[in-house]
Amino acid sequence: MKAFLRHQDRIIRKLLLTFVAEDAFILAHVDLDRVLEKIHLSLRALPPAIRLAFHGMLLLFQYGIPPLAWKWRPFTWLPLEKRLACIEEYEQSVLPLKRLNFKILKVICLPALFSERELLIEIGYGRALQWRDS
Amino acid sequence: MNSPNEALLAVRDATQLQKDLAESYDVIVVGSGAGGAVVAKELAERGVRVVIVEQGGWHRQHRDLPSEALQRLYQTSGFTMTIGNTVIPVPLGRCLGGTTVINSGTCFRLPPVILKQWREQRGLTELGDEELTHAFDRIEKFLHVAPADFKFMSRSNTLMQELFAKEGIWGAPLQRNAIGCSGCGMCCYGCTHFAKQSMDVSYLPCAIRSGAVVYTGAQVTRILSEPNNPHRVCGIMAKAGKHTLQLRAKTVILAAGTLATPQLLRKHRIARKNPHLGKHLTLHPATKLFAEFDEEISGWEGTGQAHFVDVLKDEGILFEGIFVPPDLVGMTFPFSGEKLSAFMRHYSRIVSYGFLISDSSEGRMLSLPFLNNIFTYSLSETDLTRIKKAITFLARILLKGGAKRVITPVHHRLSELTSLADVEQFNQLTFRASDMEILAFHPLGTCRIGRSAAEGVCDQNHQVFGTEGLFLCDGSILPSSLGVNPQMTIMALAMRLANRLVEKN
Repeated sequence: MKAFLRHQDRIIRKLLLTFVAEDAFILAHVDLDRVLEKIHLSLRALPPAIRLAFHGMLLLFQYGIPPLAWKWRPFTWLPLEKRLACIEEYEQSVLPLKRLNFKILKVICLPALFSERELLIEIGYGRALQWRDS
Repeated sequence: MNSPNEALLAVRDATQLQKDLAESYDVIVVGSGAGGAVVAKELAERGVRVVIVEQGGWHRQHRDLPSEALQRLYQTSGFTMTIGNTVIPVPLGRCLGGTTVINSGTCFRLPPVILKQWREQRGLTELGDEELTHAFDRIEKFLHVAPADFKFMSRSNTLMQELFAKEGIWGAPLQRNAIGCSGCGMCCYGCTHFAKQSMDVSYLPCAIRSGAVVYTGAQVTRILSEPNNPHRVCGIMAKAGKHTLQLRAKTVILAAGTLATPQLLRKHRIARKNPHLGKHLTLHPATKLFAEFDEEISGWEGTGQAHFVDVLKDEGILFEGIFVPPDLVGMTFPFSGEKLSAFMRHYSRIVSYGFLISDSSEGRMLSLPFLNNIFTYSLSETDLTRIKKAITFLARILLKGGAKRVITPVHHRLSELTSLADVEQFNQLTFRASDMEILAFHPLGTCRIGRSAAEGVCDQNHQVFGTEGLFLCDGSILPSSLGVNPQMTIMALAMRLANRLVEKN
């Protein structure tokens, strides 16, 4: 059973792209389908409360729930510039709750993205991986 | 059975039980971390029939990526946390060997000033200096504790040594229990080459060779009392896959960890009226700074936590080297977008160095209806001031030493410092606890030792007040924050408990 639905899949994909500002170097060395699969696996291993918070945050991100957030168009429809502004609004918010919820998204999504082997090798982490493999 | 791994082949995976099981022993130890493993080995070597019950599994090797190891070795995949004026993740081990499998192998003795406080201010006069010194000597010899070798330190550590020296500040290699460490930089995801002397490669194999039985994958569901005396424990029940493990013994030692032990006591209504149960939680709040240099650092090559500076120890601040693997760095970095992607591209030029503070704040366990227990902890103003002082101190050293920019663990426009003027400006700001990215690695004190039930949960022989036969042996019994990594202190107290139990019987 999948930990998230297809439309959530789209939100996560856009979020991942936004987290790294669609950086060509990073995206050239990751397989987003595999990253999504990893997020799905790690979500299944998490406590239900965290999973629930994750799904809630996806909804909040996509549609915005006043007064926490408000937007005219869903997150996945926004151009990169607007999406980056949206992320910054959460990340640098004066409301700790908003920052905490955003952190849950980061903590679950980014390790999956930055654990892509090819990317790790490209940023120079290859020797450390060899230690692990040897 | 000569090598540790061979001895561990005798570990019994309780999840594979084909039927309910009932067994009897002299002593049951719940938990296999620094407390449980040491007390079990000491008792087993003196002919006591010991069984160890561990909730996590035994992992024969550690070969996976850090992000995968988090799920395998950490409690709730690393999502254990305290809630208060900020959220503080508390990464804890959930495997055979407990948190010693995922720590950096740093070994500090109990600071004499803390022991003096315990003896003079809390009246714990039975904690003898000589007895503890003897225990520390034995532990250090057994675990091959030695200063980290500069040859295998990461450049992040050696560069910091140079920068501190340039400012006339004394720094030194940390004492570690990693014999033949080749510096692969993966300590917190299980030692790749079993160089680190975590409990699963040191004390537990010895305990097994001396006759101790180990069950993994068994979660304690009940602490059993004698039918005619509810204040006398006589064993435990554990859930093991689809079956039940019933173990009986006259002595039960809880060494499940600072967060789990008080929960077990409360669940079984033991010491439930004790005013200290689940309270006085201290954490050693810790964080780190990133700094970008022009030179290649490749902080992952070599031991990440191998150097320390205690110049501010009187103010409760201890600086230690740290390295965050690239797959985990994104979640601890205070920015996203272009800043994050640029940071990742240049990660091989990043130095990271951290610190922990001896906290004056105290947290507590909170029981909520229909929910699991949660732990609350709020950083006090004193601790926030300490954290800010440590950040500015480190930032100055880094920028004076040639760092192009320093990333602080604070959510603010001044998260990124590029000049000493920025540092001064940062120092003038007022922060809230929720602005800080804090982690904590050493939860302590939730069932502290005291002279009486009015002062603690267990007595100076570790026995829970009012419950005969039930002893505690983990970080929960420490009466205050130590200011240094606590594993050696927990081991020394476990050794002391073993001596007391053997003397008693």
